[in-house]
Amino acid sequence: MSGTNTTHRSSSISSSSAGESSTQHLAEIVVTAAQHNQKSSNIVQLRLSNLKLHGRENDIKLLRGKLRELAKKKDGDAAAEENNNHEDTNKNNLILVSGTCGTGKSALIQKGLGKDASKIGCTFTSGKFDAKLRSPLSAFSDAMTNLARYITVEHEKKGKSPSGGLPIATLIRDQIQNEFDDDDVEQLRRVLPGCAELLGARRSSLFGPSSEAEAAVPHRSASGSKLDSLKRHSGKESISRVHYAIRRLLLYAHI
Amino acid sequence: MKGVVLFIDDLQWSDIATLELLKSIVLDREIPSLLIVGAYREDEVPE
Repeated sequence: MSGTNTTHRSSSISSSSAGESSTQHLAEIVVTAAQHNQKSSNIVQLRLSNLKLHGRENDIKLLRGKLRELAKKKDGDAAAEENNNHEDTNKNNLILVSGTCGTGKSALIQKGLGKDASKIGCTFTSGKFDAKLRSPLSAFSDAMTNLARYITVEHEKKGKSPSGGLPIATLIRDQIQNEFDDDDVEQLRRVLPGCAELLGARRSSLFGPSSEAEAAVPHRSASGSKLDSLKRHSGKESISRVHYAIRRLLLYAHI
Repeated sequence: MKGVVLFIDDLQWSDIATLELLKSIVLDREIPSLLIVGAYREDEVPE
C-alpha cells in the first residue's frame, strides 16, 4: 500500500513542476490530502477517474436497461409500422439525474451509459453547461457538434453513402439548404458553430442570388411547409429552427 | 447505428431556450431512437 502511495505522490509532484498553476495547485491539494489521509491512494485514483463505481448497481442496471430498449427500438420500428402502432415505439425517453455537487452524477452516466452505448451500436454524445459561460444552448451545440463529427467520420469509414456517391455531409447540407432560407441557416450557424460543414457556406452573400438558388425556391417552399407551421405556431422561431436542424441530424444518424 | 444517447450535463446552468428545445425534442415522434439524459444539481437550481 505504502509503495503505491509513493509512486502516486511523486507523479503528482512532477506534474506540479511542469509549471501549470492549476495543475500545481491540484497537485498540492492531493499531496496535502495524501499526507493527512491513510487512504491516499484512493484520492489520487479519483483524480485519474479510474475508480469503479460502488453502490450504483441498481442505477446502472436501470440506465443499461433503457439503453437496451433504445437499441431494440430500431428493430421494432418496422414491425410497428405494419401494425400502425407508432404510439409505443416512437416515444423518446428522458432520464433526469439529480443530486448535489460531487455525488457522481456525471460519472454514473459516463460509465453506466457512455461506455456501453458503442458496444451495442448506439452513439453517445454529450455537452455540459458552464456556470461562467452563460451562452444559450451551448451544451446542446457541443453535443450536436460531436454528433455531426461522428456521423461524418462514420460514413466516411464505411465508404458508402445512403444515396449515390455523395458524402453524408453534402447530403445533409443540401437538405438543410433546401429547407431553410439564408437567414435561418445564418442563425443556425451562430447557434451551432461546430456544425459549419453541415450547414454549408454562405450561399448568396458573395455572388448574389444564383440561378441555382432561384431554381431551388419552389422546392424549398414545398418541403419547408412543415417548418413554417412550426415557426408560426410557437412564436419561438429560433428554437423551432434548431429543433428542425437537430431532427435532421438525428434522422441522418440512423442511416 | 441503432440509436443516439444525448447527455446534457449541469442543466442547473442552462437557459430557457435549452429547456424549451429539450421539451420539443422529447415530444418529437419523428425522431427515432433517442435517449436524452440530463443531469443537474438539485440544490443549485434557480427559482
